[in-house]
Order: sequence, then structure tokens, then C-alpha cells
Amino acid sequence: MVTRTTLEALAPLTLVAASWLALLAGSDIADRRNTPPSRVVMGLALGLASYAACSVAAWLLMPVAAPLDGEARVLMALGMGCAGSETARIAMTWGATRPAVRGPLQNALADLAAAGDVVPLIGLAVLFSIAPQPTESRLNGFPLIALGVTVGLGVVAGVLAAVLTRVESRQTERWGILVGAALMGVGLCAALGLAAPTALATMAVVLNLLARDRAALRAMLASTARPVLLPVMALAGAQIDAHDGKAFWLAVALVPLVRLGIKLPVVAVLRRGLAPSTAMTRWAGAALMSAGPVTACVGLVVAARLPGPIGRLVLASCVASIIAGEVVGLPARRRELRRAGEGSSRRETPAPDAKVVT
Amino acid sequence: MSATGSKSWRVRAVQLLVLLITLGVAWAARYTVVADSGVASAIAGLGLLLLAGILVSELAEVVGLPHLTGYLLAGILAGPHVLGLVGDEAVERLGVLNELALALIALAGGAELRIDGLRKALRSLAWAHLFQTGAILVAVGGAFMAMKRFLPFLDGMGWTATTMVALLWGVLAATRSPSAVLGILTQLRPKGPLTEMTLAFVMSSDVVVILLLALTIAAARVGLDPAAGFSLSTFADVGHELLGSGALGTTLGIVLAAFLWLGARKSARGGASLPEGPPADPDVPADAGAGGDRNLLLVLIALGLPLSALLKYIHLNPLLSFMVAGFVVQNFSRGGERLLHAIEQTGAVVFVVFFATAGAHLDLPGFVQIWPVALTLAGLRLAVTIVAARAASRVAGDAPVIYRWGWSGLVSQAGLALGVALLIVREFPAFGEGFRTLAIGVVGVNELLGPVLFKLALDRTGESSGAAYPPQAG
Repeated sequence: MVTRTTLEALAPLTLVAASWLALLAGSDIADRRNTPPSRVVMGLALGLASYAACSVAAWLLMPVAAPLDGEARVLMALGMGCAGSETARIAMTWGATRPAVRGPLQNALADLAAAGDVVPLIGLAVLFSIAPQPTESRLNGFPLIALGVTVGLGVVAGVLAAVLTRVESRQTERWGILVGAALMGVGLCAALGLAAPTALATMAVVLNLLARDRAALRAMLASTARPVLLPVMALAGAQIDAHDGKAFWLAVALVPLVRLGIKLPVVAVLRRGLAPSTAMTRWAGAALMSAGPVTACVGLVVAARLPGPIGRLVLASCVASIIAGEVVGLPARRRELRRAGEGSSRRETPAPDAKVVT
Repeated sequence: MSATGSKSWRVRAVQLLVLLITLGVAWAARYTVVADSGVASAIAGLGLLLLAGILVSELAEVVGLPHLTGYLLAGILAGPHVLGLVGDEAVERLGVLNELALALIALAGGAELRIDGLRKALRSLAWAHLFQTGAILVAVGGAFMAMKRFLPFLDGMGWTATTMVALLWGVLAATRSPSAVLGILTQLRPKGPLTEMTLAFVMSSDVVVILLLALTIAAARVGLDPAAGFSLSTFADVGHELLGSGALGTTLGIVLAAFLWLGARKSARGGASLPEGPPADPDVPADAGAGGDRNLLLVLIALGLPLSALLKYIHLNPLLSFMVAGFVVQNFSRGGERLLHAIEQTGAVVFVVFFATAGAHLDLPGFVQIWPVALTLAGLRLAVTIVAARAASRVAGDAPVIYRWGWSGLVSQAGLALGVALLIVREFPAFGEGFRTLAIGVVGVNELLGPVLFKLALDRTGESSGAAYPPQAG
């Protein structure tokens, strides 16, 4: 029903919507300034461990099924690393949207997830900077400059949006400013072959740091999460292309298995460093298997930026990762929360330190 | 900033600086990317037009210009003919978004019309349409004929053929701009007889123009090529367009009303139509998330684009259909205000996209070649509009404010006039291109001048009010 032509026609929308999810992720990262540093470090460590493990596994195993060598092999490995390093913040709303499901463990999981988002977004910027730039770009062959421009564009967009929202209190004009700055960032990054999601996440962080009404702006942005996420997920699924044969199935299996293989032992070790009241089991790593907005965003933008086997296989692994997260992560999280006494079915007053995660 | 403009010079300086930085970033990126990069350029162009449109409109307010003029100026500035930051290809690609913007504008326009108000103004409206249409067809059409020697595309045409082309020009001159009027109304939130009368007139003028155009095209076919013979097929097409658009608009209105009813029912039961996550922060304004209306807005956006394309595909009039839909929701359901509120949330974004793209579209090099004729025709149209409006008001016994300023909202022309010109190009390719170039020039003048005059009138009559806007920071 949805043809390739339709998907190609929707390409601009896909790019903007996917990058917007990164903006929301950036907004959430910036919102967590009160997160204990130890959890930030742990979340980053978990994300980096997943990234490294997925990259190494892809580097070693993908050439078995796909003819990859040299630069293509590196790009595939880095893409798979991005595909495997998110822990979905939005999955944690399973707890935050239910009054009875709140408490220290819920917060700990959400903090780890939020910090982990930084890894795939930085990984994406690195991947796009070293990938061959469009022939018409003067950044071709200057990966470090490309990386700097990615972050720089995000900073400029964030500063402009923050300054303008300081002098503009009307809601509709504020939407125009936010959408305008974001679109400009996405368009310029796409034209230069850079990672638009990273630029937008940077923009959101800068906006949150500099804007006067940051809470109101965050609320505005958060209200778009659900309407944007659902079509992005559908578009990610619709773009799956299984014609790479063995390589496709390897990509589908590799990332979820490596994620599980790395998260279980890493979380088993890290759990001692979390708040004393948390009662995480050694299997708690499975509860952090969820992947969502950032992974879908990675899959879609990599597929658009690197058309061909790399883009197709990274997208496939992203979708597989999201599905595996739903199948494995959700029940595991419920089990952990119930075990910790935070997941009873009766409605009760939210815990004082509970945070809303979007 | 309030409707009358109340931001400090410091704020204006900041806005100017941000505008320069924005243009600088876009220029640097354009320098870095050697060629136009298709979709990416269009996305960046849209972002640039949004930011530049908002900023230029703010700065234009310092000298009392309406926001719409600022959006147009931003489009002209960033567009292909001045700074070239948004290329021709990008401007063409953004045309798709214009369809969506126009759909939302028409929906809002229909929802602004109330049956009670229309009933009261029926007599005035009828006289106004009669005088405006008659006077413009005769006087502007006559002037067009008189200027024949300045119009190369009329070379070699006989008296009858020239009369037919002049009639077509008269129809084009009779078009108004509902989007420009609504843009001004969205900015100023005015209330009063002038506002109501102008809105009712420009929205209903769409139907008048469609009928008139069909009649004139049928006559022009015969006048330009006597061998063609008079055909009733044009009237069948018009009937199909008007009735089909009305029927589809009514259906869409009923669907929207049902959606609004369901949403209201859900809210009454104690929940938002979709949970968005509670903004518990005390610093967050109550409407920052505005979940319910935002969901409605998303439905409208999701419906607007494909429906506009579908309506065009089956040769119906999207403007009329969406206008009827808005009218149905406002007058035959309880969801009218909620619909309006949801569309108003898009306010700046929709109008900036629509008018900044229109500004970028303006063919300045073409205008340079025809400006004396274009200015003369635009000036004459303005004069005829004023005289006709006053005559109609006198006959109808309108309030003094309508008599004095009733013409002010009728000067603007935009997409509808260009659509008419495009249709004439398709129907009469022999002279169409020259006709269209002149039309673009005249519409450009009216597009820039009209909003300024309408805002001036609303300010002078005291109907404009900044009360709807919250006090500004800075």
C-alpha cells in the first residue's frame, strides 16, 4: 500500500520529524540538570558500552554476510553502534503516566535512560562527519570541521531561539521561532551532509540553558512528542527493506542480542551505585532494553544519508532494536518495578521525588 | 508586542541583530554548499522564511506596517531576486505548504462567518458585490483597453478580442484576498462593523469570482475565436465546482464537528482528548501544552494537505470547500470557537509561510519591465474600489464607518488572483503569458499595499485592539 515513491515523497517530512525527536531528546537531557552526577556517569557508561559493543560486533561480524570493506565497514560499525546505544526515555513514561508506578527505581531507570541519549546523538554526528560529504559541499574531506559545524549550527540555532523567545511571549510566535530555527538547522545540516538530529539536540540543550521561560518552552516541545513519534515509528517500519538477504537477518539479530548481552552485566555491576533504596535485580539490565525515538531517528536519517546497504541495514537493526525493546524491555521493567514495590495496580499518591519523563 | 507596537528600542535592536545573524548563517551555508541541494534547501528555506518573516514583521511594526507586509518583505529579501538565500527551486517546493496554509486560512475564514451577521449584512453585501463587480469590470476593463498600446501581448488583436481580454482583466481585478484580510484580523483581533463587513465580503467574493470567471471565459472563447461557438460546458464545470466544493465542504464540516463533539465529550468526562503528560511546573503557562487543541490542529494539518491535493485533482475548489467546512462547524455545531482557537494557534506560522513564500515568489525582474503599467492599473483599481464601495454603502444605507472605510479591506490581492491568472494562461496561451506577467506585477502591488490600508482603516476606526495579546517581555 505504501510504495517506495510515496516514501520518497515523504522524505523531507521524515527527516524533519526524525530530527524533531532529537530536539525533544535534547530538551529532556537539559531538563535533567538535577540528576545526580553518578547516574549521569552511569547512564553515559551504559550508552557507551552498548555503542562500543554493537560497533565492535558489527565490525567483526557484518562483513561475513555483506561485502563491506574499508570505509564502508567503519561506517556500518559506527551506524550499528548508534542503533544500539539508546535506552528509550519515552518507555519510562510507562511509569510516569501511571500514578501508582513511581518511586526511586523508576527515577533511577529514567535518569540512566536520559543520560544515555547523548551517546547515539554524538555517534551520529561522528558518523555523518566521516561519511563522504555531498559532492557540492565544501566540507568534503574535513571531518573535524564538519563535526564542529554540526555542533556550531545547533548552538547558533539554540542561541537565536533563546534570545527571540526572551523578547517574545506570544505562544504562536514562539512556535514560529522554535519551528523556524529547527527547520533551518535541519535543512542546513542536510544540505551539508551533517547530522541534523545532533544539531537539534544541541539546539535544545542551549535553548534550555539560555531561555528565560525554559519550563514553558519544554512543555511546548513535550506536547509534540506523541504526535511526532507515532508517524516516525510507522515510517521507520515502512522503510524496512529485506532484500539484503543474510546481512539483513544478521543486522536484525545482532544489535538486540549485543544490547542484551552488554546491558545485563553492566547494569548488574552499576546497580550498586544507584540510590540505596533501589532494589534492582541482576536482571535489571533487561529493563533498560527499550529503544525508541532516538533509535528510530538514527535509523531514518542514516538510511537517508547513506542510501544503499549501510543505510538499509542500520535501519533494520534500529527497528529490530525497538521491537526487541518492547518484547523484552517492557515486561522486564514491569517485573522490576513491581518487585521494588513501585508497580502495584492500585492508584496512590505519586512519590515525592517522582519526575515526569517525556 | 501589542497590536500597536510597544516593544522597546533595545528589543528592536536585538531583533535586528538576530535577523542579521540569521541571514548571515544562511548566506554562509549557501556559500559552503555549492549547488542547490533540493529538499534540504527547501527545508532550510522554510526555516529561514519563518524566522526572517517573524523578525521583519516585528521590525516593520516600528513604522506601523502590518505583519503581513513584513512577511512579504522577508520573502522578497530572502528570495531568489534579492539575497538569493531561498532559491527558485526551494520556493517552488514550498508551494505544497502554501496549499496547507490556504486550507487552514479558508477554514478559519468560514468559521469567522456567523449566520446572524450575514443575515444582517445581506443587503449591504448584495449592493457591495453589485457595485464592486460592475464598476471594476467596466472601469478597470475600460482602462485596460485604453492602455492597449502599452501592452505588447495585445498587439494585432481586434476590438472584440481586446474587449474580451479586458473583461478577463476585469475579473482578475475583482478578486480579493481572504488570506490577507484574515492575516490582518489575526494580528489585530479587531471587532466592529468594518471587520464584519469586510470579512463577509471577501469570503463571499470567492463565489462571485468563480461564477464571473466562468461566464467571462465562455464569452472570451467566442470573442477570441468566433469559430469556437458558445459552449455551455463551462457552466457545467462551474456547477460541478461550486456544488461539489459545497457538498464536500459540508461533509468535512460535519466530520470536524463530530470530532470536536467527541473531544468535548471526552474532556467533560474528565480527561484530555489525548494524554500529553502533565506539566506540573508552576512556571509553565496553562496553555503551554494545550493538548486538546493541538491534537485538533494535527488532525487539521493531517487532513488539510491530502484533501487540498484531492480537491484539486477532482477539479473542486479547496478554498471554497474549507470555507464551507468552517462555516458548517461554526454555525451548525458547538465546536466553532474551539476550531477557531486551534487554527489561531498556528497563527504566525501559517501566515508567515503563506506570505513569505508569496514574497519570495514575486517576480521583481519582471516587475521592473512593466512597473508603469502595473502601477497605473493598480492605482485605478484602488480608485474604482473606493468609489464603488462608497456608492454601494450610500445605496444600502450602511453605517458611516463602512461608508468611509469599507473599501480598505478590498484592495489586497494574493493567491486567488494569481490562480485566476494561471487559469487564463491555460485557457488562452496565445496571450496568457504576457497577461500573467502583468497580473503578477499588479497583484504584487496590491499585495503590499492592501494590508497597509486595511490596518490603517482598522486603526483609524478604533476597531483594532491589542487586548487579545498578552503583555510583552522586554
